[in-house]
Amino acid sequence: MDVVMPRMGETVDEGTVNTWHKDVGDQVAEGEPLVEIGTDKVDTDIPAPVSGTLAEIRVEADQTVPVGTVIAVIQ
Amino acid sequence: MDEQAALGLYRTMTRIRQFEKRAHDLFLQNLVKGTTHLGTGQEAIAAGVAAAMRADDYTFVTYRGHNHVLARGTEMTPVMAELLGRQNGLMRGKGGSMHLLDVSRGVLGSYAIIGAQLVIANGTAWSAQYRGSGQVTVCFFGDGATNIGAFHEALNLAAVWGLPVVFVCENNQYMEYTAIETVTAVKRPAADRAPAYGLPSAVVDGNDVEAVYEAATAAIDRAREGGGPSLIEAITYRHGGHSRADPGKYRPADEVAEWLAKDPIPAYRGVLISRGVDEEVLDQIDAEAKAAVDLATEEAKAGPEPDLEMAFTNVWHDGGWTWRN
Repeated sequence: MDVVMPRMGETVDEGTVNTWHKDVGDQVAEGEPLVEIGTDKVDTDIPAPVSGTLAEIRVEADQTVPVGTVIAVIQ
Repeated sequence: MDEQAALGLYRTMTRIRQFEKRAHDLFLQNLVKGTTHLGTGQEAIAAGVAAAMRADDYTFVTYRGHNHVLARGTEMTPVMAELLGRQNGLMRGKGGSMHLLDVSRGVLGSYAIIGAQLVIANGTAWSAQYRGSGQVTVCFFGDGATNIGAFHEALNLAAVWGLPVVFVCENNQYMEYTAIETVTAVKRPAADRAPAYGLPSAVVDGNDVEAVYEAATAAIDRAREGGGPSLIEAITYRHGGHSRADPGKYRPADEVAEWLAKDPIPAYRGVLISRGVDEEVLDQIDAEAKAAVDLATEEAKAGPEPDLEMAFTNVWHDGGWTWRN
């Protein structure tokens, strides 16, 4: 399942990956903090949407990408 | 309470919990349009009050209103589709999470303006009183609304006219990002002030669904029998942040942990099991709730987005948009 950059606010069009809490290959449980996303308003932990293995990290820490960009894949 | 009614309360809370969990997931996938405010952790209030209401009673809710609309019996699909901004939504995709309304079930709106619904709720109560219909109006609001002028005006007018209305404060301790106790002179922001306007008030554990049901039954029966308005303050806690992806980090970790341990749904599950309810029966209800949310999600996603021409429909009462003066 793709993990996308969420829209953190109605007028916010991009977000920054602050920190990955998991590495590629790690097991993740649904609801567990996966990544911290930052905007000019707030830093927020995004939970894993499903349980599985973190197969890919497509956006590394400190990179800023538009809302909707796939930032990771969980299998 | 008989077992079927108790299972009904459990079912309502479970359906709401699963629905809100999915709403959060869909929000993170950018499928929920606009903002959203989840009622996770506050399910016992919606379930307990709705169970005490008559089918033709009126409900007014806040922007944190999914709980109450579902508790009144509105199907999941149109609510989910509304969150996703689809044509098969409750408001045809034009309202979103904060503006749910279902006239067929007496839900006369979700109000994003803090406190606005309290004075409007007096209107339906007055209507019911005038028509002698025996309908009761239940108006929900948050703790923050008690520091808004409309709260005080509405309580006063309801008392003066003896209106059949029950005001229910969902005190989740935070008015957006501010702890209510830091900006309010009294301990119970709603219940401590109601007596100043001549309204009887009760404080109830908002995470105890049967306690909520009993308090609501007493207040609603009183209003229906001509006893006038009253107020219930239900003490609760929202599990998540205020809205969207708010992490809620302004709340102390030990406070959050303390309230998560008071989660109304596992608590009620424990009560039912201690009374001899078979766990399999509860597991079945859990599974049905998840299946219902899955179905609603699929049906909502299948709905088309609103056509551009729909901007010119349902603006005025006659369905059109042209101002005729």
